[in-house]
Amino acid sequence: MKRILSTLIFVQCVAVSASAFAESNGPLDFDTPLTVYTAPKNNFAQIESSGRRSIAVSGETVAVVWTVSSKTTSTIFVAYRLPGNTSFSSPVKINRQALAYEPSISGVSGGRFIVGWEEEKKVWLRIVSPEKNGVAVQVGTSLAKQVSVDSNGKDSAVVWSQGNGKRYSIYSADLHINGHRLSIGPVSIVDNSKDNHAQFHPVVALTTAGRVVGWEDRRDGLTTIVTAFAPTNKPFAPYQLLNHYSSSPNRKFGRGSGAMRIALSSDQMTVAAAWLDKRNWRSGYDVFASQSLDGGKTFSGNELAQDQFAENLPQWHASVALQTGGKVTAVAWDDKRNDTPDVFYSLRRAREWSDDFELPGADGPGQQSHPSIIFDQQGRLHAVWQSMVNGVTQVRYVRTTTSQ
Amino acid sequence: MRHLFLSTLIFFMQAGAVFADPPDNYPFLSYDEGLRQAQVEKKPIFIYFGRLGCGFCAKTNAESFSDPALRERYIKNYVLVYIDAESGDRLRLPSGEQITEAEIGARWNVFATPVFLYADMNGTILFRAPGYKTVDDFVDMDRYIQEGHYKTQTINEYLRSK
Repeated sequence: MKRILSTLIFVQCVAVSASAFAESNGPLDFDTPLTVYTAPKNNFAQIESSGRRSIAVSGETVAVVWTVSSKTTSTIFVAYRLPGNTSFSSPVKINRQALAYEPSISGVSGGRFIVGWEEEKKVWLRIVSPEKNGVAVQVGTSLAKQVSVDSNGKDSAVVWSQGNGKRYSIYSADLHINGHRLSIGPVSIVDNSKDNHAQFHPVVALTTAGRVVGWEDRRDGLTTIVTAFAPTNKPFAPYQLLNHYSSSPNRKFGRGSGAMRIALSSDQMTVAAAWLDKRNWRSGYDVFASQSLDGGKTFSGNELAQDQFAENLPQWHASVALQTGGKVTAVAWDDKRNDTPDVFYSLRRAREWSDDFELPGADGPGQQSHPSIIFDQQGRLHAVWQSMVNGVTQVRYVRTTTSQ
Repeated sequence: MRHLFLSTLIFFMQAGAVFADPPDNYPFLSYDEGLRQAQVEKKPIFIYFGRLGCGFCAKTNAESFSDPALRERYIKNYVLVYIDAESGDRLRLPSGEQITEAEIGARWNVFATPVFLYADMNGTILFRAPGYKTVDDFVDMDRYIQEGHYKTQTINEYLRSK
């Protein structure tokens, strides 16, 4: 009798724990979604950047960057949501005069932001704020693209892909910021190995230990995700493979499954990574994630960030955000489980990934895709995405009501 | 001289290994270039959706696209387009929208490569054929398009009736 009673108490405890976990790993509560921008007829608003860094927070100010393209133009804009405001400002042009692409943004202190973009096959940077745009500064040489920036309030860095033809390598530099003035530190190549000529879509994350750079690498005859770590003020250590890929059973034909578009997010010594991974190739790309607890030197195993309902169809455009303190990781992406692309997110709490949740406002008719997400210092999650309904494209935004 | 030749050969072998691998000696164009060229030549478009490291793409290249008669047939009958499913290379759609090659895969739901698509000269997809295909498969699919059977039959109906 005593044994039966113990068993019942144990089962009840397990049920209560599971229920508590389910509640704690449920969906977040969001405010009403906002429209940041609506493109004019025959123009297309797009959220596209290396590492999916299209939204940033500085203090209480939120900034969003995007591209508007038409048959003859490609222009980059930023808009701000100021503290206490319920809408975004009018868009402000960021690039110079030529066709510009793929802006990336990170928050600096005092309501300022670093924005990087590609223009005339070069990479440009400038400090922007609701008050003014700083002077644009070129980094690297010609034939540079896929820029990504990061700042942790103390240090700032930029990475980009630079090369010629199909031969590109990843480069990095420190950024020095004084007001709206920006200067570039010495440029260094991230990977010094001899076969470093097929590297694309880099992203950088700063930690208290140094910096970690992730990128797509094609040297082995397939696209892999790799990272390299540099301690503060020291060169990069040799790169490490991040994704576990399955080799082709017949090495004569093909090298194995592919992966693409790594995103990183960091806080202190923790780094969260997410990317698209085709190891389950019959259903296309899945969202995989990994974590570093030593400031980016090493990463733990690969984890499937989405739930089983999403396994039979491809996922696209993964973005990752790490909450201050490193206890919650959010991953967002889009897929067509509802026939048309909608944005979904999942949360990693207590080492477990949640179910997939629809992002409020990012579902329904048309395409809701290309999410970019970030946590602010108060623990609120901010998300931006692009929407195309009946040929009209918009940039849309939502944030959680409180710290979650 | 021999050293120079070998160095050049190694360079091109390495360069060829860094991006996705369409078959050798085929005049493949990017998607937007192909759309424009199809308007000029008034030809349908054959679109090969591949990926670096894709085993069945390599098998198709080695066992099917290596056939000289098939090569001649497809160069004669189509504007040839190759799309690298993971590429960040940009292209401009006729609407003016600029997207990457990888983005075409997201929009067309092309995720397990190879996928072969046949389109009219305006870019309208007529039908899609996923997976490894033999020389005979490609010849059948070419006849299906060139003889206009796609207008009245599915590819399976056509293959059963021929």
